[in-house]
Amino acid sequence: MLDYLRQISPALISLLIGGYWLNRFFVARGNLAALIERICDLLDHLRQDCSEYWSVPHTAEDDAEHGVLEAKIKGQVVLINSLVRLVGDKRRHIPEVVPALILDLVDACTGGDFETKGRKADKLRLMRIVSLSSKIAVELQRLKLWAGVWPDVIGWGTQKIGNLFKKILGHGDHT
Amino acid sequence: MHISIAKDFSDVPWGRFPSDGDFCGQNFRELFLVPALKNHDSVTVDLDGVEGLGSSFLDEAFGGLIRKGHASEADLGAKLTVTTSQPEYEMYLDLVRRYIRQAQEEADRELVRV
Repeated sequence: MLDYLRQISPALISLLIGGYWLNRFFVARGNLAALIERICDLLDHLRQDCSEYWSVPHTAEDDAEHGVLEAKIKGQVVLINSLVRLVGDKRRHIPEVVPALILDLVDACTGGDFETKGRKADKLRLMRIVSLSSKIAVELQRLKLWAGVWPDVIGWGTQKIGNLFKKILGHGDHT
Repeated sequence: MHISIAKDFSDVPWGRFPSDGDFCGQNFRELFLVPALKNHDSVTVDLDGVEGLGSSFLDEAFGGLIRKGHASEADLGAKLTVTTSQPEYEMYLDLVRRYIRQAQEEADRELVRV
């Protein structure tokens, strides 16, 4: 019996370690997916609040209501930015375009005549907000679906192998 | 010279012009930034502690320095530092840089037109 256990113990240990890492991998992947879903929900809310805010002009009667919307919009952009940073920390890589899109989104949501008395409706700005928030959602969904991961890994690997061949063939490293 | 927006001005900065409220971008620029830049070689603006910022406030406060002829992008690059220890507010630093650059580009275009 002891001999039998001794024989199978390496396989058992490997199985346990493998199972642990596999479980860790899927849990982490699930958490990341949940986080991305949360950001996409927030982007939806932001789009709705911005639609309410930028599609109508400011009037004295709506002052209090617009004040609430302004506070909500400012809070949401900070929260979205913080959560996207968190995705970056977890995945250690988010497409470079995302931080730039977020900056554009903050500028579009809270720029121009934001918090200005007598503000006019700005449908062009609203269109920009919708377009930017959709682009961010798509980039984040791409991460969730792994579409952004394997091309990166394959691209990186292909480049390294290509460089190695160039070195061997004497063409130098062009990275 | 160190200016904390939250402690020295308001923890809820709001709007662009005085008609939007006392704690607007124009008032921050004229009452704090312009005198500080005139009298000191180095000015640090600290964003910590504010309850969110509107881009309109930042544009009026910092971009307005160039639009109103108080400074150029090069002056601000040499004298002005905007900081925060709150990671979620780091995007505002990028926005300040963007508004200063855009205001300078506008000013340069105006100069060419004249």
